Amino acid sequence: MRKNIIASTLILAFASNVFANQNVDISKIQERFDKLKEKHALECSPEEYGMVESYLESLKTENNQSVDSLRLTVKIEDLLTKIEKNINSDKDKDGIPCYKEIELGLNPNIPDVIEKVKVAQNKEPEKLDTGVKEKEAPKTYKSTDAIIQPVRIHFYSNSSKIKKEYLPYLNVVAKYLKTHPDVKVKIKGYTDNIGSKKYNDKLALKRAEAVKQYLIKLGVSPNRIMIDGVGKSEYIVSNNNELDRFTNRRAEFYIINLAE
Amino acid sequence: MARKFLVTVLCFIGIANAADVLKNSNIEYLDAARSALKTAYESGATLKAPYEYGKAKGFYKIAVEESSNFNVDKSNEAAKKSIEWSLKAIEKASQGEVK
Repeated sequence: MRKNIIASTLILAFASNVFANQNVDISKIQERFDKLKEKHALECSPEEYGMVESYLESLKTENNQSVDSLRLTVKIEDLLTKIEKNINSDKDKDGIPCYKEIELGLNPNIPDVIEKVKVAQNKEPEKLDTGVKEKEAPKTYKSTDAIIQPVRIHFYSNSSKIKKEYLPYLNVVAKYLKTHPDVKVKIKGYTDNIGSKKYNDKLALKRAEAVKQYLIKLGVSPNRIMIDGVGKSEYIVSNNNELDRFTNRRAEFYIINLAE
Repeated sequence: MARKFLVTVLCFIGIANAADVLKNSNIEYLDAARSALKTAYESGATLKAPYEYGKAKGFYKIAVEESSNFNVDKSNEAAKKSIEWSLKAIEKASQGEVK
């Protein structure tokens, strides 16, 4: 009997010692989370993203070697795996994974025809249907066409700051305008459905103005740029979720060929 | 002897009551966090404000876990954060993002 008690005590002591020595490496988890952030985890898996953030916040205040920390780590790992899965998932079954759709400025919840995307990427001079999400460079248009297809850039909520990834598009627009002096451009700013009409009208105009200022900075004459703020109307898609609202928060270019 | 016994009993009752109060306040926090999370869910926060809802849910889970480990303070703190994020989610879901 005594032997049994001693043996079980020793086993327990050994087990708890081993358990206590397991150090929770937050930096590794943080690194993995950062990598997923770069792959648009917030857009593709917002709920899990929020949960991981709250767990991480709690983990940082916990004692690094406590059992609770280990339990939290396991939960975070599970959530990160889920996020990874969502990033690579294809919700709308159009063959493009979620993160890729975000990078292309598409909506991962609405199917996009792959051919159209390919055309947009190759920038072939092809008239595209006024579909929901394609981004085209203005040089794809024939000089005889008054531009039918708008070039689109999107904005963060309540912001008129131009996102870095759209700067190359604007550079192409500026280059086009500089090489085509007979062309004028009209920039229309739009918003999502959130907030008052008055505020959104202002914000829409501010977005158009921001794009105008950027083009002027690149050497386009201000006389050739007209701006308009549309605000809470002319949505491309419904405003049901964050991605749809992101799609609607945009500035579009309408190029007017004066030769026509 | 009788006096000693009486004092011991009174002390025991006092400690038990204090523990009850502590426990109750924690339960109240958890209850408030749960109902805030429920309201957020019902107002469509899972679709309209998933990030905020996720944060609220995460903190609620932490609060429950800490409570089960008798870490009342940590649990209360997490519950408060959960309520805060639930309110943010409800606000965003009902009138959209705050501008």
